[in-house]
Amino acid sequence: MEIIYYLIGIPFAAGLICFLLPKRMRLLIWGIAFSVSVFLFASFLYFFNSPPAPAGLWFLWDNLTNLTLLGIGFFGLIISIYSYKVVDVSVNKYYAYLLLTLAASIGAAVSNNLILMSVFWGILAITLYLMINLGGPDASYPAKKTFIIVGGSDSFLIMGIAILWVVTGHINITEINLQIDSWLSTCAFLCLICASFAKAGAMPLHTWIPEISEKAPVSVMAFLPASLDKLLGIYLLARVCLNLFSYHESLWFLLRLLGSITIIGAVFLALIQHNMKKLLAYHAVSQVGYMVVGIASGNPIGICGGLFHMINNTIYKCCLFLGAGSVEKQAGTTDLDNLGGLGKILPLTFFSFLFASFAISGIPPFNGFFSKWMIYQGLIEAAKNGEPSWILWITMALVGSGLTLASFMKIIHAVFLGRPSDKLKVQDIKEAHWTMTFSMIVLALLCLIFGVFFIRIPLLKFLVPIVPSVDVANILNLLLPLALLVAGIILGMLFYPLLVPRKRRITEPFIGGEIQNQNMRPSGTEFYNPVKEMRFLQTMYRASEKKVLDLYEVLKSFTLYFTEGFRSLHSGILGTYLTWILFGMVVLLYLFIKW
Amino acid sequence: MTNLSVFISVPLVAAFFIPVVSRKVKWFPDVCGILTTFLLLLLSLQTMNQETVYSMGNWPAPYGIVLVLDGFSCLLLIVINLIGFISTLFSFEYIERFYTSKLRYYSLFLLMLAGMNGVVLTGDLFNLYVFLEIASIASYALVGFGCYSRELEASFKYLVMSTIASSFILLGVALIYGRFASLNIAHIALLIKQYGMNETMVFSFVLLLVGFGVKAAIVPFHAWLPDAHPSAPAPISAMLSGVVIKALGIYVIVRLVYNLFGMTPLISNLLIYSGVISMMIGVLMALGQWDFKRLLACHSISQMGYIVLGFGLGTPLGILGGAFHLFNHSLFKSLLFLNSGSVEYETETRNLEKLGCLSQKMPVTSATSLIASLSISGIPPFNGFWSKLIIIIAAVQAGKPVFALWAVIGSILTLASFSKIQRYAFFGHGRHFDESTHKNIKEVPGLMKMSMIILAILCTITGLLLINGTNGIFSPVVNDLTQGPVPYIEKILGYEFTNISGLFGN
Repeated sequence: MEIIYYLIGIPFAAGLICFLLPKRMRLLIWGIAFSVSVFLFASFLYFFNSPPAPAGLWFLWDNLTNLTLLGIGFFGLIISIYSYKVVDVSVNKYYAYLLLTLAASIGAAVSNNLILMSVFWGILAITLYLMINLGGPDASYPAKKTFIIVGGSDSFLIMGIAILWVVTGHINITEINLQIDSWLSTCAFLCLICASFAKAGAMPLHTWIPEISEKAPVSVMAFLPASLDKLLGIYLLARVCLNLFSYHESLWFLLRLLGSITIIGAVFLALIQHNMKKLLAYHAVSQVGYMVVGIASGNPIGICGGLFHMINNTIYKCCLFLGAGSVEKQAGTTDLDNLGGLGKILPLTFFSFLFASFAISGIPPFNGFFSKWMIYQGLIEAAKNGEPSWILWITMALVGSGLTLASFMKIIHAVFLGRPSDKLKVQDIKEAHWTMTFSMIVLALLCLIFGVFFIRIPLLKFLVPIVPSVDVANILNLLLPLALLVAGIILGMLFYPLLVPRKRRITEPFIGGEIQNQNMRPSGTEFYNPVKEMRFLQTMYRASEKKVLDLYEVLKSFTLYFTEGFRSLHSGILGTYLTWILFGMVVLLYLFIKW
Repeated sequence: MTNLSVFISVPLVAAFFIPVVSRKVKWFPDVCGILTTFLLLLLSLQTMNQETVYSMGNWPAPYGIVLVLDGFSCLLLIVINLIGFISTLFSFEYIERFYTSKLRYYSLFLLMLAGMNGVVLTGDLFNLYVFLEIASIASYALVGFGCYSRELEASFKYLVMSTIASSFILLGVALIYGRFASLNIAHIALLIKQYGMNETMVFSFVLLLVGFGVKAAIVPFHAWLPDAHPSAPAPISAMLSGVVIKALGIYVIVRLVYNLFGMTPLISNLLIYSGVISMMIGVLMALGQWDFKRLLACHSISQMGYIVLGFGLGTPLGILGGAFHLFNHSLFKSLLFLNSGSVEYETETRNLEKLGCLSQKMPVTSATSLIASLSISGIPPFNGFWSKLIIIIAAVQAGKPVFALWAVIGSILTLASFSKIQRYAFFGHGRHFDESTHKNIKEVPGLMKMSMIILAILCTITGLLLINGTNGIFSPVVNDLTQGPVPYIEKILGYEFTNISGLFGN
């Protein structure tokens, strides 16, 4: 187990070195970061194939850890390659925080001792805060909000750990398996769930993700799902639900409920966004819902699906954010209204983005389809225990999936297809640097590989070791629906030419017979405006604009109300203060004389 | 073995010589101040793991004045002299910039130090009162040191309220003396064990509790603090918030409760409730502040609440948490006040709305203040996390998870208000931020930087004390307090004396 010290220590030390190096030694700093991440990925790959070690006092290394670590190592590598050309200010700090994040992520994934784990979580929150602040003064508000939500949730984590320790007398993950039977253990469960929700970005603690997406450096946003946000947040959730506590019907019901609300609520908010990064951020929230629902379904296949979705989401979400980063870097904006027609100019970006969009929308044969399928199966499986609510969860998940596709159609059309906005200087835009496209293409291909070779690679290599009780044969049943789907797509392709009129004429756009100039440009975003005006949704959007749905803002105004009250009490008049002293003395005297 | 009286005599003598000598020698106050505090720091570090009773003038215990060194006073001694040394380091350049009279400053500073060392060492109630007054009066003068109207007003308020508290204390001491004809704490504790509490004793206990409650700024006796602490020069604010309220307030309350009157469930509940109320009111007030130092001062009330909560729980773990948080709070709160001093040194304002973007221009101040903010907000791996963790675990263990939950909420609100400081002063900027006034800002000079870095390093590593250092520093504290008055009495009066009194013999 000594190797763990090196695996945490080396990126940590490298991070400190990068921090101390001067900014202009850019290549050296990048070289350090790159070689460390290569080392980490290689060693995780090596350990993945070796048998897991027995859990120690401080660390544990089981198959779930293995999977998480492999993910962390891989995405650390991808991000460090991608960042080569993207990051140009505060290079030393950026790579230092990146390496520290890597070190702390590894630490959080391998700790067996819960307090040790919360220490690593704390470091993760700090590095995240510092990384967002690299976005300049404008990023300071989202950074603050993020830090309060993510760092504040650490306090709940500690509370949960404290209760666990007092109730069970143990502090190690492997030694705790608590039956939820008293209000104290319920409280502990809720505290830990609160922490993992805040970190994973599930509703109602999701609001920091869309907020930072616009201001933080985009490579930070891309690394986020791989580090703190999805991989580790869901890792924590999995540990809480699978290891620390045993199944409890009504609390797991609550989780499923929150998960489905997250899926559907976030996707509706995503539909109306006009900024590419913000839209992606809402999808990041929405996808968490699937993982929560999957893990909370409480049966092996659903858990498997949730974990698989965690991996898949990390892959395609990382790819999508990298794509957004390339667009921003090359075109100078991520505002959907001001983009368009970039597909021809950035073909590699376009195709990898397209692949990732298919994956996130759950279209076969991409990986997203298979994980969602497993989650649905898990929910149906749960229905066999006589739970009637499964139909609701499945409906919400399916609708969410459809709407995801809809919003990605919007993004693809508005950015890559159609006619370029005249605010773009099209002739100056070139395809991104090869380091950027390389990392995107790798991720896009991975989406495809994990889908096509679904059984051979992800299922048998990653998931079955973690959840051995999963019924592989049952999953394989999906051949029939798959065939139906493929048939449907082929039929659609056959019918499409029939429905399109034979005789077509392409003209310049015109209004009332007058030919308009080039400025007239149908943009994909306007197509989605009717969504905004549906009655029920309209109230929801208004509420979200007023930030009524934002738990953080609500609690903030609630707290400030008290703050104002107490401040007005402190009027600065000496007499009042002296009265308080006398009052306190009277109360004390009363208490002591009475007893 | 150290002669305990040096902790009082050295700063007193230095405080006397500074005004005398420095009429001729200009560099004397600085050098003498720094050397004296450094000497005291070394001496206090030497007292670790020692238990000594020193009788002044060789008069035996109940009749003469004794100085007592046990685990708890040792902890306080280290805190006082450590922060004292670092504050003098910081003062070297800071005082030159804003204030003129260095000799008075150092003289008062050392007087305050002597008073506090006296309070934590003495084993005599009236002697304690005298030292308390020395420290308090020096601190009134230091709060009003800037001599502007706001500072004088704050100093006056502080003086009035604190003097009322002092007279309560004096009355309480007098009542006790009238009942038992003794001023030795151990002797009084013995007599209380023998004869029990009557109503006069209860009254005097309440008087003492109120008096020291004011000094410790526990709600509802806290109102002087948000005015007084920000008005003082930054190193003095660091001393006031980091040390004075603890040495004069919390220390004495804990000593009285655990070693003199004995812990009862009522007192325990009282401390827990007042701790939680202080915690919440302090942090809620801090959230609305826009003055850098005032925000910090409000947090002192809140953090005192954590300490009182820890001590109030009365379990060994609670006492450990309280003592550890006391130690940690002195480190990070002084660091924060020194940071605010550095910011004021460069920008000449404390208004968060006018500050901005200092993380680029003052990297050391920014980084150290970030560390201190993380510590006070209880973010791992910094020291505040560990002590809060212990307090929360102790509260759950003592069967009071609701109070643990309050501590958690307080911790989140603390984080919120310190991210506010980080946002407005360092990473982002306030509403009235004016770029042109911020052009010539650079990092503060050497010694100021050094003192902040020392404290930041301490904040980072003292979490490790929990693993190894508890045996050296904190477990004596826990032992002293959990065992109640009896060992304390035996230690000071000797086993013979207590035996003769016929209390423990049979």
